[in-house]
Amino acid sequence: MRRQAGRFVLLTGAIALLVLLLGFFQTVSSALTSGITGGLLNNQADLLVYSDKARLNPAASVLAPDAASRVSDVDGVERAAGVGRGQFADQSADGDVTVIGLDDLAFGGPAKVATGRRATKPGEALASSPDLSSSDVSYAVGDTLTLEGVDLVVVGTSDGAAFDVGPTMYVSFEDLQTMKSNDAGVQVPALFSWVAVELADGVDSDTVVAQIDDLGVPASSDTTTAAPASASLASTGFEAVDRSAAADALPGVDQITQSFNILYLLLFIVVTIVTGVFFLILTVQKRDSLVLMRALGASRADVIKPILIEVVLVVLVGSVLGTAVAAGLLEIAKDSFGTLDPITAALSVVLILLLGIVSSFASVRRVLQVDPVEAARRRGAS
Amino acid sequence: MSIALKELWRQPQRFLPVWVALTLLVVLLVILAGFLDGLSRSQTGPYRAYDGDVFVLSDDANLQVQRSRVSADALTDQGLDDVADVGFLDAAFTVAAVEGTATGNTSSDNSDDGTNLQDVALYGYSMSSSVLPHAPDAGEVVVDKQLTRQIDVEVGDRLVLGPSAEPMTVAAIVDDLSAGAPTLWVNGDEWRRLVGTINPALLPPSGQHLALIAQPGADIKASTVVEQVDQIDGLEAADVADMIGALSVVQQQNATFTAIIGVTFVVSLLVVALFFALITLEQTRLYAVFKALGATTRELLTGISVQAVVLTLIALAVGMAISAVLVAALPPTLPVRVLPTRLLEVAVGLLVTSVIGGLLTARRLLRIDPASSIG
Amino acid sequence: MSALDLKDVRKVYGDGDQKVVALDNVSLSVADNEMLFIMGPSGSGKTTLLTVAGGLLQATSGSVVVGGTDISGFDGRELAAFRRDRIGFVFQAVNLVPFLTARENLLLVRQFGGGKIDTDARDRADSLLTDLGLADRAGNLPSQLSGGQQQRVAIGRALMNEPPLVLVDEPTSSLDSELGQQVMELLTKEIKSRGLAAVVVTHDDRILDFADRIVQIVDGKLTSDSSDNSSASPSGR
Ligand SMILES: Nc1ncnc2c1ncn2[C@@H]1O[C@H](COP(=O)(O)OP(=O)(O)O)[C@@H](O)[C@H]1O
Ligand SMILES: [Mg+2]
Repeated sequence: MRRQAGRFVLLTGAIALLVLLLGFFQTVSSALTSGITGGLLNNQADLLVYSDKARLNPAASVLAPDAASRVSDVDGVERAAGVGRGQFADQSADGDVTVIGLDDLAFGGPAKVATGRRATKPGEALASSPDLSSSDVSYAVGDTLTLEGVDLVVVGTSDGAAFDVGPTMYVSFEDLQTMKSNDAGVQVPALFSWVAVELADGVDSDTVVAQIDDLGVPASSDTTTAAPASASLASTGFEAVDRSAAADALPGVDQITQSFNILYLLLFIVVTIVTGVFFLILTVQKRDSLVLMRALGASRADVIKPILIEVVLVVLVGSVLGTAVAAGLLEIAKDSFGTLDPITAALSVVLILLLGIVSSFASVRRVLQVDPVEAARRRGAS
Repeated sequence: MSIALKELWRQPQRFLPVWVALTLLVVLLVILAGFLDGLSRSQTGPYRAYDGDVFVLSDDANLQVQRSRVSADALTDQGLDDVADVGFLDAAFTVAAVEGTATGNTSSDNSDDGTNLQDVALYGYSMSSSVLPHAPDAGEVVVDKQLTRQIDVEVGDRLVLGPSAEPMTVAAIVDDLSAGAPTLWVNGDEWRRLVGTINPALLPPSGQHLALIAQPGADIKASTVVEQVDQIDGLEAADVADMIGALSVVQQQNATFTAIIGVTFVVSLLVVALFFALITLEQTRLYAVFKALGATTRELLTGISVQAVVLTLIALAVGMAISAVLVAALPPTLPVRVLPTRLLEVAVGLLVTSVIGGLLTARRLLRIDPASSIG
Repeated sequence: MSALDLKDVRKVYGDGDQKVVALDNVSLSVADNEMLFIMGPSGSGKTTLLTVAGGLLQATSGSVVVGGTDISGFDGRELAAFRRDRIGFVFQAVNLVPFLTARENLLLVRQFGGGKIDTDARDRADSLLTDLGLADRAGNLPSQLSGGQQQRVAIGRALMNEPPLVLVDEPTSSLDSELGQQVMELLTKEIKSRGLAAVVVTHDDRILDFADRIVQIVDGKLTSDSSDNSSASPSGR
């Protein structure tokens, strides 16, 4: 009985670790991806409009100041507002902050606010909640910071609102411009990176996308106050995409999600096969006593039932333990890794359970085929 | 002990399950490590291009090149005798395509099929290194291998850069220097001209660069130069390793993958420990006979360790071969880089892990009573 | 000097209510060259006597002297070396190593304690196998041998390290009468020709002819010294 207990503990521990590995990887990888894409995925905008020369790269997209009004004239567009971005150092916190400048402080930021409120005037900022990698620098309501000479007070936070795997501040476009100009040492032209678009109710987004893409280059774009170089630069056509497509198109996201998908698949295959191997070892190991049971007149069901019970028990207890430990670990490290997704966890458990049962049965089948008389003849040291 | 090996050869089916599990774990470890190094390398090419040199940035930039502004002559007249040469580095993101294959840059509907247009990082530089040739002439560009994996480009081909499709001739192809995207390298004046057409807001004021690169003199350590430059007001210096460490994405990826690799090792330990614990249970009688015939617990443990090592070695060989096939089958644009040193780490780590796993049977072996062999 | 000297040996298993006195003040002496049989009903303490004499278990009290060496105070490591060099075991259940050939099962005992398999060891294994009529079976695994052949391999293994004392537990229990006789003949021949001492535990009275001396054990006590053969002298069989 002691033997049985020790074996049960070992096996359950192994399953728990495998489940932990799966859960941990899944959570961490999605947190890492969301640190890059969260700001776009959880945005208020239905569509994002970039320069058609930017290949959907916010860092490469430059739009003239009249872009927002041109887009808002399109049928089916409820609201459109220009958005700029930059990255600056928070000297006091010794970390980097991505700054999103909103021309309309009520639109173009994160869809949901977790604590506090949105910024309503220059000098205020809505900060992304601590997320992957921001463990060294994080901001809460009431914090103040200075970026390139602009004093900001954090008035709210939003979950999953980060860009560039770091803390992100949603501020007024004016503040962003001041930061950029202070950073460059000269007045920089006021150009947007993208235009955030809200669709009117019941409008087909593909139609609107097509219309925006068809706007083309304005006939004459030197109506702005921008310097000549940037005027020609900003005289581009548009490329509109929905949020998730915009997130997928961020540079590096493709590579990272593809990498993680491949790794997850590999991990999953390894975990399920290793689980199967465990149960195979176990059942093969019990073969002699099972054969003996058969010799003593046990029915097939008598042999199969205890094995089935053991597999289910081990997988369930192991999975619960593994999930609990993973959830606990992630809760402690929530600031950097996010939390466990229950659906993925449940799915993994079910698959491991199935494989455990299948591999146990594979070896029990061999036992059931052994001639019971053989049991009596076995001798020797093994 | 050859008895242990004979058992392995003559009863391989007993050891098959643990061998399969170990082999799979090797594959997992190698691929994880490949992504760990690949992802980090794919972000840090420009730093690796100046391996051994010292990066000099403004001290408010937190070692982020994009945000640094340094005067071109910041290091001259500073009496830095230990510095043999000084170069600069400027960087901006843009797009590039082989001339004639880009979708028309003023056409209004290019939403989907801009397949030949690539995100690239454009670097201006002045100092050659072990990877980079001398800075090319005006109108010429050095490209890295990563770009050739994404589009069909050779030396002598013409590329168009940026929104206004500036034509450039490929002067050389260098090793993969990805910085999240393929990298293109031009001389300093060309960089200013091109970035002026991309986004003038990114241009540092004239006479300034994003970073300077100081090459330590012969026999001078990078750390010595770092210390000296740090003394200069307004400047912060770092060697390549520290520059890479300052990239939060790289840090996070490293932390993530290291954690996952760590858990994988723990799983391997458990697999081996569980397997040998079961084998010991199964063979209690045999081990009791060995003990009755004069074997010590230590000899039995040695036997199990030998089996663990041999099993792991075979699993390593086969697992690495499978990994090589898998890696070769992955799309070439994926950032997987299998480094020999990392393979060695995986091998040593797994050998140690499985020996420990085998040794965990010590208590069970010790408890086996030689008297139980009799009667 | 006698091959084995037991003086007032007690062996108690368990404690408290579960206490079982398996050997109760047993004193016994086995001369060099003597073949002693121990007879007794099941549960009388025969196997316990062998395990104590062979250094598999320490006696609860009393002294166990083998070939002049008192092993009573030995620790596990010393006992292991003692068993390897001084005792040859023939187990009731044969206990051959299933993945080793007949020859390797003999050589096995040479490898423990850091020993090497040298030419001398190989020659000895081959000559033993030849003596036991197994020369052409040397390369076979136990599963390829008959019960009698397996028992012969076990005898060869017990003699491999030239131990002065051979302990044999129920050698014929799994063999039929004729095979049992053959195996006993071989065993006696090997032991006598080498001038060794042996203690054979059995309750098979068909093989008592092979004994130099027979003692009875009942409830852990030696009852009679009912030797029907000439004591402590080679019987010349
Ligand atoms: N390991 C043990 N633990 C407890 N009691 C034991 C143990 N081994 C033997 N005994 C008991 O000691 C007595 C003698 O056993 P044993 O020496 O095996 O007798 P025999 O070999 O003559 O059949 C029996 O009563 C048996 O139950
Ligand atoms: Mg007995």
